[in-house]
Amino acid sequence: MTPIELLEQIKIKAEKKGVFLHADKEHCLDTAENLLKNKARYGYMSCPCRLAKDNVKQDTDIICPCSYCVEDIKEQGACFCVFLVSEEHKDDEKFFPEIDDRRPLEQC
Amino acid sequence: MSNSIILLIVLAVLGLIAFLFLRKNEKNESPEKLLADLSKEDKELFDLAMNPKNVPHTFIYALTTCQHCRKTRALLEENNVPFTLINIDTYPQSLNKELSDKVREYNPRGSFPTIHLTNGQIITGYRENSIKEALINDPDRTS
Repeated sequence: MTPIELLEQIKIKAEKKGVFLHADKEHCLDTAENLLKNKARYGYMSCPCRLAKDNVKQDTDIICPCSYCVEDIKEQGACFCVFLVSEEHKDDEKFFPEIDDRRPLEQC
Repeated sequence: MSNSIILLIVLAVLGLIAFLFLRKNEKNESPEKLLADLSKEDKELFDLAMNPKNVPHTFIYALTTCQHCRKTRALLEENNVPFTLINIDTYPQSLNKELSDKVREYNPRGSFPTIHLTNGQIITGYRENSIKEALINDPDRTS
């Protein structure tokens, strides 16, 4: 699968849930490449912004879209990687907020 | 014909078992053995990461896949701020466990980038304003 194909898949799934790919296409392509890199490395698409433990059970919550994505987008407008954003920010290429990681400390 | 298929299946199963065995052993190799197998540069970088106070400038713990890390690096390069960066995810699992434990000493979340300044200050994440304030706008910076 190519990064572009992955982005198309994610876009369709995300928009069904009312969230959107970031407007900066280069940023999205890089993120998709990194997701595929993690898929090749660990066997699953763990969040590229977090260090995976190479153990699917321990990393379940950070497989993209991560378990914290919906709340992050709802409260801060974007997921931790600023890959998926809310409708309000879907056309804003410059929207790169600093998102605090809400993953529980004991799982980090 | 059916014998050939059975043979192929047996070979495939044996191949899979061998692959899983090798992967398990790779994960279980001791850190000492893994360290000994590193290149000289990677070993030196690992040592610096375990003791960033020995670095005369900013030290960054990063991931190759992390966009926040990439942006941090770009910001520092654009502003000619000297730094040393380690991509933890390029190290074997048991070594990157040691490195991520080290990161947690400075940043309990172990998130990336974790930026260690020479004055001991820690910046976590791509905090553009904090990075600029600490490393770019400060005329007295020692980076």
